[in-house]
Amino acid sequence: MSESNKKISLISSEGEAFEVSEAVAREFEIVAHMLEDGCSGSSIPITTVDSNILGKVIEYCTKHVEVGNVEGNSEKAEKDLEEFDKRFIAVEMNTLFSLILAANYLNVKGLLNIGCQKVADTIKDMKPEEVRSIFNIENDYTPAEEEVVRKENEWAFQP
Amino acid sequence: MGAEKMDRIGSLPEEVLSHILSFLTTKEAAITSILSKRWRNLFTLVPNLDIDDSVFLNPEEGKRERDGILQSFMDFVDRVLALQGDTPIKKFSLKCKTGIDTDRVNRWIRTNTFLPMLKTLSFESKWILLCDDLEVFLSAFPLLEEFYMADIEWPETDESVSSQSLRKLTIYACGFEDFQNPMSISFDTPKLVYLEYSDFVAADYPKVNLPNLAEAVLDFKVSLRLGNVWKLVKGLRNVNKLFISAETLEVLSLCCESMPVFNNLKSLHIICDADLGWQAMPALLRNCPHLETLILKGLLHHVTDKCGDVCDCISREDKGRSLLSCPVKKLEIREFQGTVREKEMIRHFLESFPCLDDMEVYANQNGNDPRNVEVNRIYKIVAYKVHVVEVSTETVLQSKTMSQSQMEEISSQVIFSYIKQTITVLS
Repeated sequence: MSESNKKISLISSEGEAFEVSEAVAREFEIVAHMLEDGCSGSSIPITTVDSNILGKVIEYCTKHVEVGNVEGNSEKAEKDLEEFDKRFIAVEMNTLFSLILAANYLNVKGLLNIGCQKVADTIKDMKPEEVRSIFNIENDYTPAEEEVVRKENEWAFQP
Repeated sequence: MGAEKMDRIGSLPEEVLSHILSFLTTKEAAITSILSKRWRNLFTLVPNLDIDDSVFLNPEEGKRERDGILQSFMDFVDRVLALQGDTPIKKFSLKCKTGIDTDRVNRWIRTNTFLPMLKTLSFESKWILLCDDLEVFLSAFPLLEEFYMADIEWPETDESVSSQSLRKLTIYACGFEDFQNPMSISFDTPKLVYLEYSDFVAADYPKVNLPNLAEAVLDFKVSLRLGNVWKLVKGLRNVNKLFISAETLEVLSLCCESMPVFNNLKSLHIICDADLGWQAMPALLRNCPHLETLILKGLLHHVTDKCGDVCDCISREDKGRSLLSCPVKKLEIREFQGTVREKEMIRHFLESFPCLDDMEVYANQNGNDPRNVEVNRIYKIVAYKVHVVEVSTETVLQSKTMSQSQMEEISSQVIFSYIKQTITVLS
């Protein structure tokens, strides 16, 4: 069997199997390492990622592998991919964090980057209070402590 | 517990949070310190440190003068650098203006124990005199690959840029503190591939060791003592790409006798200025035996007797002799203004460069005289194989309303007629 036709099953935390080509599976660096280490099994459990998220990560990797395989017309392809990334990452916060966590665990660098970029863009122009409320961050400073931190970085907080 | 109640962003591991912060500016990242205790020092884990006081202290008018702001900013830099212990800074950039304690800035840069992993260093500052010993300073960064410094004013002493690792060096300096005692600069950087150097010419260049230099951008400014500039120029002889400013070309005229042979030079870019001369042009072109591309930004220059043989400013018998030995294949003229002088020069080039087979002329796109119809219409003219019979020209227009026939008319006006003449001359 030629390498490009080889199929690998990725098993989600719920036990659901996703059959993907080896090229797509190798986009998960963690899987690529397993395969290189001689793990020849055709099914690989991804126990920390649920079906919904795993499906999305596979969709991302499949698209990137497809575009990577097309020759010529690279400028247009790149633009398409950029558009795809933009649409792909426009998800609500819980999904975004799950995608980032999965991308970090599975070591899919491109996805990790666009996910982190998206979070950074979201918090960039927000007031600290808004960031706390969106991300459910509990403010565990006492008012006095908060004042110290504010004083510490006074130049940054003042308009 | 429902997902809504969880600290969502807090479930991400630290390295992911610091990755997120790396997409923010240092100021935006610093504000996250207020979110919660966990976030207090997270932003200091980001490996790129970009300190620009205009971002920090603006936009509000008068902010930097307000009590405590500058102090807070300086304390912040101290603290971030002190917290770097476990996460080495890979990139450090510092931009600051007056008002910040000079000693502190020098300490930020010099307290070198915290930056041994640094690969890129850039700073812009008018008054940093870190360079009272640049050699010692650089030895603190054994892995440094890129060094950018702008707005530098040198102290009086002799300097040496010496590094075994440096690959890219950019210096924008405004001379010396005291013009009576200009200093000397040495370059001992065997791995350097790129040098961008803009400064008043130093009194001496005692050591120039640049065996791997591939690209040089030179912007010399005329100083009181130009006698040793040839030592630097000689050290650049291995480059394959060279950019020189109009003033540099004038300075080079002092090196005509000792001009090195640029055996590797394939691409030469020269900026011209109507007030500055081309005296060095003949020697320069004669000493580039493998030149392929010549780009001239502007053609108008100050006419002197010495430039006579590359241009046809002054009629003379040996006109064009330096050009005849020049193997340049592609000539690009930028900022063409459509004057008769320029057209004459283009014709002279077409007649004299023996190997030319590709020529592009770009009109000056900015600040055109609106009355100059010819130039306004032409965006770009390209001529191929200018020395064989099948010449093709192609004109790209600035104005979309031009008809095909107008276009042809212009391209023939400007260059096609010269090509015909050239062919006649050759045949």
